[in-house]
Amino acid sequence: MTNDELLAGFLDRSLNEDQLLEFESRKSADAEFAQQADAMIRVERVIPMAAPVVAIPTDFLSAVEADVATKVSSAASSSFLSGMAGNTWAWVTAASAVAITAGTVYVATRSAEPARTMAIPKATAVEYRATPTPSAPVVHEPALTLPSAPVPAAKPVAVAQRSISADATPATAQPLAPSRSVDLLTSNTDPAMESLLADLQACRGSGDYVRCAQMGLAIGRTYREDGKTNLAEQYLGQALIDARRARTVQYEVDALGEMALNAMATGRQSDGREYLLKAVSIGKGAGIDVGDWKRLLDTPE
Amino acid sequence: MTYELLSDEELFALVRDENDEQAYRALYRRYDKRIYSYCLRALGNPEDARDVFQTISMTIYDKRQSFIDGSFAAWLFTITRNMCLKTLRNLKHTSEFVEDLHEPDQVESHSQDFLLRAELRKAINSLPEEFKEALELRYFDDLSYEEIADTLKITVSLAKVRVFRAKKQITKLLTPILDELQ
Repeated sequence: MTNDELLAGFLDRSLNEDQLLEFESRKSADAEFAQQADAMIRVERVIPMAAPVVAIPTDFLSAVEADVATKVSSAASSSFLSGMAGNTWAWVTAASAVAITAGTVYVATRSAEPARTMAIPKATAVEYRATPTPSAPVVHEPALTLPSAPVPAAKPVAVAQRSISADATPATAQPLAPSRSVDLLTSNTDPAMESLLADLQACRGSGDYVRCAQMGLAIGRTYREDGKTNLAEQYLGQALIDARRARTVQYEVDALGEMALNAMATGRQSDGREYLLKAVSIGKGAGIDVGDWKRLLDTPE
Repeated sequence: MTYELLSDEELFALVRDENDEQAYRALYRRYDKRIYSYCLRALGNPEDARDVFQTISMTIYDKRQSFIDGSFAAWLFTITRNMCLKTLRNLKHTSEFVEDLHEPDQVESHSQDFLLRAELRKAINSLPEEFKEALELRYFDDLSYEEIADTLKITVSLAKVRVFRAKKQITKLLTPILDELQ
């Protein structure tokens, strides 16, 4: 491989073990190459800073979402109706259902209040759902606004670490720095948590999805452990999205694992298992240790 | 069904084949900010960005049957890019004009960061258009090389080459400034 190929591979994190060794040895042997590599690594880190910080018009985006969602749902209804139109038996069935419903309502009304005249049932609409009802809530992005102040890209996330128990998260490959002195467990109005939430808000504008995922995970985990499962779901879901954007498989696996624990804590065992299966499958595919999640998956309900 | 677990393509298949509103919403929220940011970056002003964003959102749904396989992100960004280019042509904007306009009017709180950002933007804007576009798709829009290649209709290796060369040129321009800032 040429120097450029090695360097490009290194910057894209696509070198295998042998190529990494080759990269390191070439750096040691060639001062010019080492200098070039260090300079490019440094620039690589700051490039995301150049992304224009834009004020996201969240109301506008929500309005567009609602507009198209209406189109989607009305298409679902019309496709059902057109399906019905082409199916005589379906019409017969629906008509029978209407007739039976009307009859039932009539009889019930008559027997309950014999003096009343016949109640005309409202037009019976056959309820149709083209979409499966989600058992887990859709992830809503935490309401965050983009900051005007830049965020240093390499700033580590500092949160209190918690001990790993039977229902806690397996250690991540890059554990969060345990440098914050205030334990997030200690109070509900924890300044450490507030600060972390503020950091996450600031992070949104930096485009540093790795750090956003890391912080989202820390916040979600804390909420989960405090029993605030709705908040936990919200932040863990966002951490999952950020981890995918950053292509950080370790955090993706951790987010899924945390979401599994959270789902199980709210009695949604099958959702929990689904999350775990996904975490294990993704983790295995990327060569990440998923032993703890696997064990949890194998634990009888 | 837990929509967060589904890939973009799985979600879009639900939208396309079953008009699944929840799948649509989940997918929309994965991309809305990125697509809006792209439009704003390309067009330079929020009004045009909103117009095009709205058109794209409708078009994606209206043209849902035309997406069969491949990467949803690449398909989405291809449509977005084409719409932005078409709008730019209609508006008769020049790229220089756009560059001037889309500088964010924010208050930079940290002078070093401000300087670095300004130099970075200058360096990126000095790149040949094809390098700049590939670099921005990679670093601002978080596309993989495969998605960049699909979006720009080039090979994956060419996408990699363009991004690498862009970084190399930026490094040349920026190293003295980074040294100075340190």
